[in-house]
Amino acid sequence: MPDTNQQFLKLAADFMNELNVRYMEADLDEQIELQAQRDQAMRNYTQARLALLKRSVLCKPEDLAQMQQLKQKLAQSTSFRQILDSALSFAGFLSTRFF
Amino acid sequence: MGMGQQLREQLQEDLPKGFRSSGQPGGQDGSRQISRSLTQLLTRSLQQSLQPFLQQRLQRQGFAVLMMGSLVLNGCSVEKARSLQNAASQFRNESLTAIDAIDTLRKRELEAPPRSAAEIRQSFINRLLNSKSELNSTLIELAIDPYQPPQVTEWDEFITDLRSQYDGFSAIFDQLEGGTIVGTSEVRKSAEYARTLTVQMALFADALNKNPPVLTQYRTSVIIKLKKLRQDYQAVTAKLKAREQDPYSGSESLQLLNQQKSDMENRAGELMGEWQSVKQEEKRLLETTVTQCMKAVVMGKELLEIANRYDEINLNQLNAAIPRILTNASALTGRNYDVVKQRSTRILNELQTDPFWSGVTRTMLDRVNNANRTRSNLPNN
Repeated sequence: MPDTNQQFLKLAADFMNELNVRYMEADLDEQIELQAQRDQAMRNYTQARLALLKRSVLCKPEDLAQMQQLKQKLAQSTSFRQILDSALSFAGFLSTRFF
Repeated sequence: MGMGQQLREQLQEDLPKGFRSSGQPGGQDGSRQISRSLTQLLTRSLQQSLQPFLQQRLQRQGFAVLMMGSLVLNGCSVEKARSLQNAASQFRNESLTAIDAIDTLRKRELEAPPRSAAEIRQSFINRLLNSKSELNSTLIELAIDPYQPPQVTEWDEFITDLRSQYDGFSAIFDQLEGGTIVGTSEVRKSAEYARTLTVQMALFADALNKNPPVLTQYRTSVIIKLKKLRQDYQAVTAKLKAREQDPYSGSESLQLLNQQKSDMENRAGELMGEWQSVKQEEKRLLETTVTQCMKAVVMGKELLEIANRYDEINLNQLNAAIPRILTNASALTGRNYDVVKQRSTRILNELQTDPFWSGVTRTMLDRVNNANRTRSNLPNN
């Protein structure tokens, strides 16, 4: 049975995969707008991995619920603005809750 | 300046004239003087290290200090010292290789798959010429390489600090050429920090094993290709269906449409292979990294246990034990990962239950509980 940390990192990786898909599908004008958020999301994902590696954090069920919600929000995004908002929420969530 | 370098320079300052830089300890009086200087330096380092913010930095000195403490406490021969010194050097090398593997794993997670020069050029042309954004160097750079991963300073600092922990203790060892070392009870106590290095590596192996790497950009690249292929395939099959209902619909020949359909099916098979390769590479990265961490753990654990029994063993026993330890560690290969995992579980269990290790392990594991307690005080978003 995977622990909450494992589940959290798996959800975060799924989010990053989806965000990268949306980024790669975007045209250059959209990419230039999205790049900063995507880079920040990548940085915070790495910091989450680092926190789990150093055992400096223990994810709680509400963290999983929040990450699940963010993942769904991104998957359901139909406009570029929604993708941008999802990326911002992801980076914000990780930085506020874990670092 | 790195901590190892600082220690070397501090040591040089503390050494009596005539012994600086030459690395030649000289006669017995000189050795005693060096020993006293070393002890003073180590005691000072230890006192400093008791300050919480310097605690982690002291870890790197721990192993060397333990060895030095052992030399004193047992009045061992230079041969015994050298034998242990060589083994400690191997431990440092294995640990540094493990740290490199952890760093590589993290970098691979974010890196983009390579593209050919022709692909980069074509993509640049299509994207830049259709763009409406202000044309500047940022846009050009992004059109050339939109997939460059960002720099993560916190990670780089973490890796640099880890490396210096293991380099630092080796630097201290460089000063121990010949002579016996006089120790203090404080020096003996500092062995706890040496154990921390080994436990830390075991916990890394465990955390990595529980959180395998995900090559996000590689996975994404395959997903994008499959999405495009599926779209094209469904368009072709729709055309073929329409042709069945009306043989005169569409301009493409039936043969061409069937050929396209077949090509796309083959391409889907290739992409399945590409996906499996990505997963295989993730598995390989995980196994290589965890195995390397475990090599360092096995070596560190057995060496420290032998150093702890230093006064009970003679040179012959030591010379027989050290090659066995090195062989044990090098026998761990990624070829049979199940064995590595079993070993890892067993060692982690020993580190938690063996009185020699359990104190350090409990302290490190308690960090999680402390972090959790701190987090419960944070407001929810």
